[in-house]
Order: sequence, then C-alpha cells, then structure tokens
Amino acid sequence: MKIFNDILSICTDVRAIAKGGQKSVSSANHPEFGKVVIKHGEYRSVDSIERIKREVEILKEINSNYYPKHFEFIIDAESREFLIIEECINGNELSNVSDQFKNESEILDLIRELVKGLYIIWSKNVIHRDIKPANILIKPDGTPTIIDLGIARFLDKSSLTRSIAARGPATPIYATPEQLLNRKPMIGVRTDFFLLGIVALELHHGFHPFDPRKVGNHSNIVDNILNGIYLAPNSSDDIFTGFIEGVINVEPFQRFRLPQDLANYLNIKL
Amino acid sequence: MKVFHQHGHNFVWNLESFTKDGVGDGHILSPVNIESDKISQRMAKNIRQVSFFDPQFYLPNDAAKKLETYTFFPKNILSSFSTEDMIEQSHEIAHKCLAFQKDLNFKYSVIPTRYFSELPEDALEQLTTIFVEPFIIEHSRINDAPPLLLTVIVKPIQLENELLRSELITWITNYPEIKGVYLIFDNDFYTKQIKDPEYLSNQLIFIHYLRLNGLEVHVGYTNTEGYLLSIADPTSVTIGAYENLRSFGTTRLETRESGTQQGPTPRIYSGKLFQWIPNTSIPPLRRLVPDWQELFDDSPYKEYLLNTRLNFQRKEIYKHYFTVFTRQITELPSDLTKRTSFIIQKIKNALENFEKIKSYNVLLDSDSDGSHLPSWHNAISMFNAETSK
Repeated sequence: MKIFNDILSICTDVRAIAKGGQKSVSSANHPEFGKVVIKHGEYRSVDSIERIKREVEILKEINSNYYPKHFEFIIDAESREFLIIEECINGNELSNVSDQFKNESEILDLIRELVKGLYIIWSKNVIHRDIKPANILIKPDGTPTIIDLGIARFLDKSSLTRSIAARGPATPIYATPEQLLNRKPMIGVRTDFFLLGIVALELHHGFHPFDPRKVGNHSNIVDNILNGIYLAPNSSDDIFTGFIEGVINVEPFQRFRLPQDLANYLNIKL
Repeated sequence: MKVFHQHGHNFVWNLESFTKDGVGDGHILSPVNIESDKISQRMAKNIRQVSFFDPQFYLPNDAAKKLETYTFFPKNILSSFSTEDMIEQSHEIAHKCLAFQKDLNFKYSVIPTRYFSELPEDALEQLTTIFVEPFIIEHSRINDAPPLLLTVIVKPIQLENELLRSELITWITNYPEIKGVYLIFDNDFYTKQIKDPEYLSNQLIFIHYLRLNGLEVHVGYTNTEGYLLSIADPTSVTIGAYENLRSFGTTRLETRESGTQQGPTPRIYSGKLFQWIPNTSIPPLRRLVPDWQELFDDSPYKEYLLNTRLNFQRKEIYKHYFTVFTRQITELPSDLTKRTSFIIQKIKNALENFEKIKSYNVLLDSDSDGSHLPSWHNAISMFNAETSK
C-alpha cells in the first residue's frame, strides 16, 4: 500500500469509485494533474503486469479526446503493486444517459464518433475487445470517451491469453463469438465492429439484443451470441439496419472487413 | 477470369504454349525447377510482368534441386529450424525474397507459407510470426514493391470443419495489406478426379467468401475442377502439365534418391467430357463410336494425338490441354448466374457424351469415366443453397 499512500498523501478530495478483486479505483485532485483517476492494485503474474503495461503504453502514445490522458505509472516489484494515474473524465456511463441516443440517427452519430476514436488504436494494431456501455463515457457536449484498455489485444505483440483457455478475455455478455470460443487468430478489428453493433442495438431496443427473454428462447445471452440469435432492429432506417447486418454476424469474415469499409458505409473520414 | 501456367518439370512447354499458341494469361514460377540466375534468361520482362513467383518454402528445411540457388531460401540461411531461429531470421528472409521478386519485375510479391503434414493447433500463429508479419513489414520498406499475395494451403480438415474454415478465412481477411491469396487446396484423394461433392462445394464457399472480402483469389494446382471453381469467381485458376502440377503435393519438392520411375499412362484431355481419356481407350473409341473424334476439342495438336501411339512425355498432350482448357475458361459468361447455368448445361452435355460412349459398348475405368460429374453438379447445388441463405 506504500505507493498508494504516497500518492494519496499529496492528493485531495479522494473518493473511492470502485473496488473489486485485486484493484481499486478512486478519484482525486492531484496537485500537478488536476482531477484524476487513480487505479491501484496488486499483480499476480508476469502476464497480468504485462497487460497493464501495454494499456499504459498505448494511452501514453495517444493524445486524443476520445481517451483519458495518461499521467503516471508506478510499479513496486517488491510489494507487487501497481498504480496508474489518468485524467478523470467529466462524463456519464453510456447506460446512464441512453435517453440521449434514442433514434437511429442519434445512435449512428454516436457510432461514428466511436469509430473515429477506435480507429486511433486500430491503426496501431490494437483491438479494444471490451466495448460496452460501461466503458463509454458521454461528456456534457455529447461526445464519447473510450475507457479501459485492460484487455486490449495488441496484434503486433505476443498473446497473453493461453490458447488452452476455454474462453478469451471478454465481458461475456458483451463479447463476440470468437472471443467466447478463444479463437485468437480471429481477433481483429471486426471483433470491435461486432461489439459496436451490440452497443448500437442495445440503445435502439432499450435492452440487450441477445436477451433470451426478448428473442423468445430459453437459452442465455452467451449462447445466443454464439449462435447469432438476436432481435433485429425494428427500423425503417436502411443505414442503421445495414450497419447492424454488417457488424453483427457470427462469422467475422461476413462483417465489414476493414475500418475504411465501415467508415465509408457510415460516411465518415478516418 | 484468368488462367496461369503452373510451372514444374518441362515448364518450357508452358512458355511455348504462352508465346507461340497465345495460351494463358501468365505463369506461376517454380524455383525448384529453375536456377535463380536463369529466370531472366528464360522469361522476357514482359512475361515476368504478368507472372508471379512461388517461393516454395513449403518444406523450408529441404532445399531440393534448384532451390539451393536462391539465397533467401530458409535452408540456405538458417543453421537450424527451431521456431526461435526462424523468427530471428524471418525479416532477413522476407526482405531478400521480396527484393528478388521486385527486381525481376513480377506482378505480385508472394508471401510464402510452409506445409504442415499434420495441422498443429497454433499453425496460424506460427505462420503469422514467421511469414505474414515479417513480409508485410519488409514489403512496406521496399519502394514500389508489387502488391502482396498471401500463399495459403488449405488442409481438408480446414474445409470440413466449419470452425477451422471460419478461422482460416477470418485470418486471411484480417490483413488489409494483402491484395490477394495464392490458394492451394491440399487433398488426400486417391482418385484422379475429385468426386466428393462436399469437398468441392466447400472449396467454392471458401473462394466465394474471400472474393466477397475484396481479395483476388488465385487458385493454384487445379485440374479440370478449375472449371467448376469458376462458379465462385476466382481471379485465376491454373493449367499444369503433369499430374503433380494439377494436384498439390510436396513430393516433387523433396530431395530424393534418384531411381527409375514408371511413367503414367498418357491421357488426352477432352473438354467435352471434362476428363482425361487414356491413350489405351482411343482404339476402342475409334473402332466402335461413330464420330468419336468429335469427343475431342480442336487444337493444333488434336490430329497428332488421336493418331499416334503416345508416351506421357509428349509435349503435345499438355499443349493440347492448355489450349482446350483455356478456351473453355475464356468462353464462360462473365455474369455469374449465367455462368452457373452454362456450366450445369456443359456438365449435362458431358454426361450425355459418356452415355453415348457406353451405348456403343465402350467402357471407361473409374479414373476416366464421368463419375466425377454428378459430384460437380451436386457441389453446385450445395454451394447455391449455402450462398442463398
């Protein structure tokens, strides 16, 4: 706890945001960086600290309003602790402000912003892999910030996921079939495309599109994702339905192929 | 759709067919059959510009025959073949191999692959690390390098098993840097023609999805089924002389003790039967079937072939096939729906021709009859059902 206490001693207005497992997240006022988020925890393996290092490296490289700015990263090898200081985003989780994105046009505008933001990491061969409402913060001006690159896949670096693992890193109900089946060679930008589709369709319906109670079966969300069973959009907006059809498909090779293809479809410049 | 000459032993016949008969759109070079410094002597620049070079890294630890003249061949660079050694040298190999292809003005930069007799679980990860990523990176470092083609060998299990098939198609289409695929279907059939409709329809599906992803698809080592595969609209199929150039195998890439080998029965290609008819069946056809010569398509070599006792080393056999098969491909409708109907009708015509032969009491063995054609027909039906879902 020493590194954590050292930082806290120079900060003010420290508030716990979340605590779980081996990690805690707090907000605070830092004398140098202003309003910050402090992530502190213990690491249990070389792989877990490598994953954290990669997240920090990519955030350090990025200077964009689509991501929180990174300020500091400390590791204490003796106590096996790490501490990350990031910009605190003044925003709300998407699920808390979903009423701002009711119609297809508003949802597509949000998706366009997210595609522009994600393209920053895609162009560095990084796949987010954990796009979900809780990892999208909506700022007061309505623009999104993408957070938590904790399980991002760095395609240029060796995988940190064991091939024998039954399931790849993911939030199961916001995961793609290839993540759920841990098919590593299938992970790519199209993994994030699928996840954007879930986010868009959840905003459209107001519930998870693979929810068995809504699609009318007795399965569960994960099995419905694996089998591609979801409630299609009830919409006359061809662009919106075409977007959903182009991203939510069990087979990655039947989704839009490249970021540029998706951008062209959504009529945005990357 | 284009037709490339698949080079191998006696590739001079392919060059003659191309230059003198005007057959084919280009060549796929086989370094195991030509020394590195002979390529520019044997093939003019304008021919190289419409052709591509297969680096043939299939067995990277065996620089058989003329492969030892290529400085970038793994056996000529590596001291061992451990994964670590391969990874360490992968960029040097990639750079030299790509520079070689560019310097010789080939149409594409081909990323090689290796052959797995048994598919390891991490095959795609190995290929990514050793070949794909180093080649993509080194390609970006060479000014004006021709576009990339990724060599992919598809094992039978990767066609049969939907998950493995999906994984392979996804992996191939993950790379925005590649323009297309040099696709090789490995199979373990013992028959001369492929008679498994599921295998054939899966080949069609595989090609179809690669094309839907905007990739060029050059299918190598095709036999007559190259005609059937045209339904999935590949960019090109191949014509090869000997059987080992019309069905992929690594035997011709292995260093072996020389010994006597019995030559195969000479066979003459009939586009009207989609089959190779053995020389030994010509006398009964001549004697028993009226207008029997009509079963064979016209070419500058037809008369000679039908009136000569042949051995399999006669170049006319192969030049006839190159001419006839390429003409068949050229005659295909460009509209895919019309092409499918056209091919179905041609299959039916061929089956009628086989019935006619049988009606005159001429029997053909199972490597020469029309028993593959129902499979072709059924493969088309299965493919249509899959793609109209």
